[in-house]
Amino acid sequence: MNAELVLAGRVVDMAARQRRRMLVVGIYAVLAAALAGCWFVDRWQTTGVYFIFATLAVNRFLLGGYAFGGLIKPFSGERPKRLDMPPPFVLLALRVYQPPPDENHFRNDEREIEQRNAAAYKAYQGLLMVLVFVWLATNVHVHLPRLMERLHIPMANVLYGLATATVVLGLTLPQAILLWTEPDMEEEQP
Amino acid sequence: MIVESSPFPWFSVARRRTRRILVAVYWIAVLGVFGVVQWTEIFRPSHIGGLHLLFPLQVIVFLPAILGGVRAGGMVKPFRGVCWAPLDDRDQPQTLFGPRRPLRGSASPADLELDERDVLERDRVHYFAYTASRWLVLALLAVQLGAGLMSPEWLFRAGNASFFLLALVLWSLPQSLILWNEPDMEERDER
Repeated sequence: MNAELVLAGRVVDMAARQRRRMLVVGIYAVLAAALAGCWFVDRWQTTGVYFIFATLAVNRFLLGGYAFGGLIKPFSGERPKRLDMPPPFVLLALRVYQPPPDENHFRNDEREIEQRNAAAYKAYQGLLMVLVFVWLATNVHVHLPRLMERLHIPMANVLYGLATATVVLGLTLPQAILLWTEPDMEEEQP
Repeated sequence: MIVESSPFPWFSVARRRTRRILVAVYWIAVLGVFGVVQWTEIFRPSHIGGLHLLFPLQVIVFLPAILGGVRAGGMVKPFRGVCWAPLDDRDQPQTLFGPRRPLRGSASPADLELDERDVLERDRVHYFAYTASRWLVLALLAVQLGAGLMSPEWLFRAGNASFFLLALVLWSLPQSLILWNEPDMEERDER
């Protein structure tokens, strides 16, 4: 796990567990608010897909795990894909070129692999429960058709939103568990 | 990760080949029953729904009794290391004729506790299952899209079946992987 997060060119120290927990709470609060907002836009019909792409961006820049970048190293431990060609002059001139990362930025050691697997176990158990709940929710309209008619809730849209939320949870939960449970990191000695 | 005392009185599960056959039979049976129930629901939809009966049966009865993992009684030790089997906790009953026989599914203390290696193996397998489930979700999404192109009614039906299939598969996948990959165990001398 990285101890620092680069946000808009500014380095944020995330060594303290409390900060990481605040980040996790903040991310899920924003995602929940955005999902609720998308309901009022188009009942998740089109925005649902964009919402999943937004979650991938959250992984890329904040959480990591399934992409290089963010706090958690890539779960796969693979080097980020880059072209072997020399960097374009434009990137060098604009000073936005990032050199290839060191191996310790993407390679997981034995302890990190154990933590990754333990987080996956916890996330797996939680997602199973969510899946069963969503499956049961798909049957509500069969058993309570009158209730659904009275409430005037488009069930297909609700299920689509639940499925989207489940996918988002599946994409972020292991990283969130890791950030939540990892203790404070030691400060580097100058 | 696999229990020492075989949950089946007729044969031992120490050999990997035997376990692989059992896992294959389990999946063929589960997916076969799912297919039959789904097929029946299409042509003769019932108010109760066959899947509602299949799911509790699979999760509460078949999975713990055959594969294990969820609670004591199956081939894989319970993942949480606790025995949630009220009926299996009873003392061994005194039979009228012959020696005392253990209850079916009763487990020894060694079958209920996970050592460090077991915990690592459990977590590793769950990570693999978690990764594999992403591809399964993608495949089901493709099915969903195909069903949606056919008709809106099929879209809803396929959605229900997809969630059910996903829950069904994910519930049994880690146990199946453990049973499939674990090497042969040493046979115990049972006298």
